[in-house]
Amino acid sequence: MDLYPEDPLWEEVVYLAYHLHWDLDQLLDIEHGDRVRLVERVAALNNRALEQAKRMIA
Amino acid sequence: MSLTTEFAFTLPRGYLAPDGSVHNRGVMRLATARDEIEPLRDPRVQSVDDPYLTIIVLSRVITALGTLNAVTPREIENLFAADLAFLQDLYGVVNFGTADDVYEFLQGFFGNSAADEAELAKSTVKSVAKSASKPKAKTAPKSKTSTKTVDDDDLDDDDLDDGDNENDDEESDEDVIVVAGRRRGGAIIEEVDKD
Repeated sequence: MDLYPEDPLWEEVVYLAYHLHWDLDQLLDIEHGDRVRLVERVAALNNRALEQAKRMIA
Repeated sequence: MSLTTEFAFTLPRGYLAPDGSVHNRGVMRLATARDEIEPLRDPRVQSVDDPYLTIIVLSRVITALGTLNAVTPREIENLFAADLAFLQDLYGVVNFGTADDVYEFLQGFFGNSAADEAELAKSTVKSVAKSASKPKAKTAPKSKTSTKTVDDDDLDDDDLDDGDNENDDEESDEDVIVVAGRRRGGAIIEEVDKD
């Protein structure tokens, strides 16, 4: 049976914990698809902020 | 988290209980990280390849089966092979497949009419808990599988910003991790904006 790869699973949980400051229990109880979507959204926000920072420096 | 997505299903054979009763209609919810991590720490599971891991995971995500009071690994172990295979496939499709995958899976088992009626793919999204400080995703029905949604949570995208920008200057391209694994189709569960 297909299961989510364990290492990427933990990477995503840690990524969200780092950025959102949610506790582990909350993060572990998010459905796979929602967790992936959150990671993508947070990454997009980070990228957007990074681009803004680059423009300010330039 | 505040959302649980569930899929009703009908087993090809049905679980034959010790008392002789047959239970074939059930409900499977979508899996979480906890559903797959905690069984790895079960002493009965020797490795990620241990077949018993599958048994435990399925017993966690199958929330109802016939009139059984609870679904435990014992019930899953005693399923007919065809039913166990069906549930394993269903688990993969609903968690990691696209909406089309779900439809094709249902067609393969029950034909077009059953797939259209979505007897097995009828999804119910329930708000099982509320967490006011967390962003919440609402789900949208997938017309092809006639998913049904019931949800009253608020969508609060602003909370996503918490704690992000403070680290932006430290972020580099390498900090954006690549999401591994197969993604569930957005058409099955879609985030929709709240007014």
